[in-house]
Amino acid sequence: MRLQGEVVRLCFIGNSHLLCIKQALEGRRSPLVGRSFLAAGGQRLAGFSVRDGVLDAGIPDAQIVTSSGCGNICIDDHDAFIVVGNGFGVQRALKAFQKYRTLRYEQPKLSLVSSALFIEMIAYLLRATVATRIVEQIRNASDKPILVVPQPAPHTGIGRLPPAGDERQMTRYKEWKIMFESEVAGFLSEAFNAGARKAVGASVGFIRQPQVTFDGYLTDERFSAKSIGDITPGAVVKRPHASDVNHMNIDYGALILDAIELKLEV
Amino acid sequence: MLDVEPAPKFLSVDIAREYGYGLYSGRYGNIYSTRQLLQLIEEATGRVVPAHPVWEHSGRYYDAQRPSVEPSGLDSADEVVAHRQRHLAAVRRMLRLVDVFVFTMGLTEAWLDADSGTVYPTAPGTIAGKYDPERFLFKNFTYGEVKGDFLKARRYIKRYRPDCRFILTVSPVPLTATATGSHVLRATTYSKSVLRAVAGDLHEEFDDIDYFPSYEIITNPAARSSFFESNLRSVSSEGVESVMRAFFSAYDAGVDTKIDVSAVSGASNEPEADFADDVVCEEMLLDAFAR
Repeated sequence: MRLQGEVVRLCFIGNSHLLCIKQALEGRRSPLVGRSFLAAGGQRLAGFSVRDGVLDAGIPDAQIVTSSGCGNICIDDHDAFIVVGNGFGVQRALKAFQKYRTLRYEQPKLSLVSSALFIEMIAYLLRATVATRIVEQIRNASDKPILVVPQPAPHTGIGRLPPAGDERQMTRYKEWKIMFESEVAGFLSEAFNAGARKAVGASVGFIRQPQVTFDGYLTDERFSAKSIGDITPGAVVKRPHASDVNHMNIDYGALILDAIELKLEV
Repeated sequence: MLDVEPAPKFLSVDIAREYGYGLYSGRYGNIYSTRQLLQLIEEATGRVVPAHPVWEHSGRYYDAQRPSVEPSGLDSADEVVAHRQRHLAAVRRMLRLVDVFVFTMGLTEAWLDADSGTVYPTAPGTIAGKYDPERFLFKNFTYGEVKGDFLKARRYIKRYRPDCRFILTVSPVPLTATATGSHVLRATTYSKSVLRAVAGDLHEEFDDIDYFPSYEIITNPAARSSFFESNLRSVSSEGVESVMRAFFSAYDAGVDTKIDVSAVSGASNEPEADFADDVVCEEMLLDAFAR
């Protein structure tokens, strides 16, 4: 995926997980220049499409964050596209694991499947994400390089029992509890990476979460300090909820940028 | 239709079929012979334990009785055994629920374990396993053996479901190879003749056994081979549609007789020639390993 030229024009598309990358990009002298951003919170880009070579978020302008207001972002103006977050994460492996098990983690009431089939299920779930829809829409319109950056694994703080009354965190705690066992987490992490490669296909690059950001198979909590998770347009950029375990900081974003530069050979 | 081993929720239809789901009422893989049918029922009900149940190939492990259902094999022999136990439990569940048992007779040729008589759906050493001429024997079943095996299987099924009825068909797909030493055309004629004769006689002799002529619908001269793909072997989507329309017309199952072939073939929007690629068959795997 070698990109050459004086100016490498990148377009980043994503949700709140894009913020840490944007921050890192702004804070460094990088060969990745001429960048554009198209972002919307949560799964709001579900209606994303490409019309006549222009990206269309499929939602009202007021819900979109772009690098230059709500102006048009044209495919022809960019050399590569980076799709960040948007449901593409190890959470999908966790969802499959809640219903289906390989022999090593077998439970009587859950269906037994092979490792290969489990990976196929993760790929299927990832193909159903907003991220994959965005990738498909761009690929249908252009042969330019596309990279997918997954949502980070939650940080290790998710393993702390949340205080009484914090229902939001309690829900996450219960969802992710199985990942606190390192062996299970390791299996799911590997299965996710294998499923991700299947889901994106050969013509799209996949950026693995950098190994240095892990503490076990969860993200090291230091990569979450001072993270920003709210990208609501017009709102004062605010810190995430105190118990937000999903969003990472500028240091994490910088490592992702390194991986992107390496992949694109810029 | 019974499906005692439904596909996992998070799979596309194509991948599910590749892994043996949604093809039959259980995840058996292809059952070619009445001996194989009988053996499956006997195994599921604890009467026999097949010899050499796990075959290995390139460090991966396969269920010798259904090697195609895990295309890349499993991680260990223990895993194969665990999956088979689940499968056999599903077969027992099917035996407790079945009202009408539909069986398509495919072949008379098979490979047996010399000591135990265990029958295998594919020759050892093809998809997986290792061929040992001292251990494995080629067998071409006779009329009496095919009929006897089916009647024994029927008796076992009736113990679970005394009112169960049976519909027999014969596969119209000709052999691509034979281990008899005869020409493949001669081997095909023998095989199909025996199977057709058995199916017809069973229908004549027993009130609870019907014969459905899918073989004749596909192979009859008036069709001028139009129900076969260009390889003159695989049944075309039109052929499948004709057979299924006739089937539901004959049995008036209270379902829409207009068959959505995509549900059968998974390829209604694909070029017709691609349909044959969707048929899940050990022969594709045999080809792949032969290269």
